[in-house]
Amino acid sequence: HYYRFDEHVLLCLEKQSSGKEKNKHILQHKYVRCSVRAQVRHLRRVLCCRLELPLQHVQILFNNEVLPDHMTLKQLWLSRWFGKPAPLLLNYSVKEKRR
Amino acid sequence: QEEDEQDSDHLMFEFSDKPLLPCYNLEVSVSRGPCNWFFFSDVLKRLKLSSRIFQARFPHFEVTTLPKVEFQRQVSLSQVLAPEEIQAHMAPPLALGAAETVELVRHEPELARLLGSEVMLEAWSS
Repeated sequence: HYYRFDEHVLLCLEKQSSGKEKNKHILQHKYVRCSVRAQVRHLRRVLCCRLELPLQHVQILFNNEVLPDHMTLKQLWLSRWFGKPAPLLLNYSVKEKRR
Repeated sequence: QEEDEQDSDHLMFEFSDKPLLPCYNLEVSVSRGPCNWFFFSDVLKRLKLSSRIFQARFPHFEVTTLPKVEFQRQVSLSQVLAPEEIQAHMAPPLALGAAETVELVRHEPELARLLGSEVMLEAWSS
């Protein structure tokens, strides 16, 4: 089966703003389309790639809750966003470097 | 062949700085499985092109029509469309017995890029 024929979901990714790093690592292209079978880990990987950050530094959250890597976007949609219009609003947080 | 192999185990992520046009996962004929389609009118509006110019310039993009009632039936089965998004397409036919259709253009990476998105492929495993 080809993933490109899967149903899509539309997402909007906003940075969870915090402290000094508030204006860093802001995703310019925050509207995302992907397969319902994509998992949180895939989204994290592409996000890290775009933000040029290591994988361990980025987390994806819904309503302040960190989402597990193996959750599919379909599971996420049905459990948290069912009946709501697109796009599904997600946040991401970037771990600040220790000084 | 190579592209086929890549398609089979890669997920496509589309990134855009403006809200993305909706796609509908539809089976347009019994001989092939479902795939994703834009409303042709949505695409033309965003590209500011007429249908004639679009089809002359991009003959490789697949454009098709589907009876409106069939489109409505399939869209109403989606679990990721909100009731109001489905409802927006449920207007009854203008005249009883009129064969209304919807015009669709198939979603593919090249068309997504044309619409201003950046496309990234991500391996399923790894």
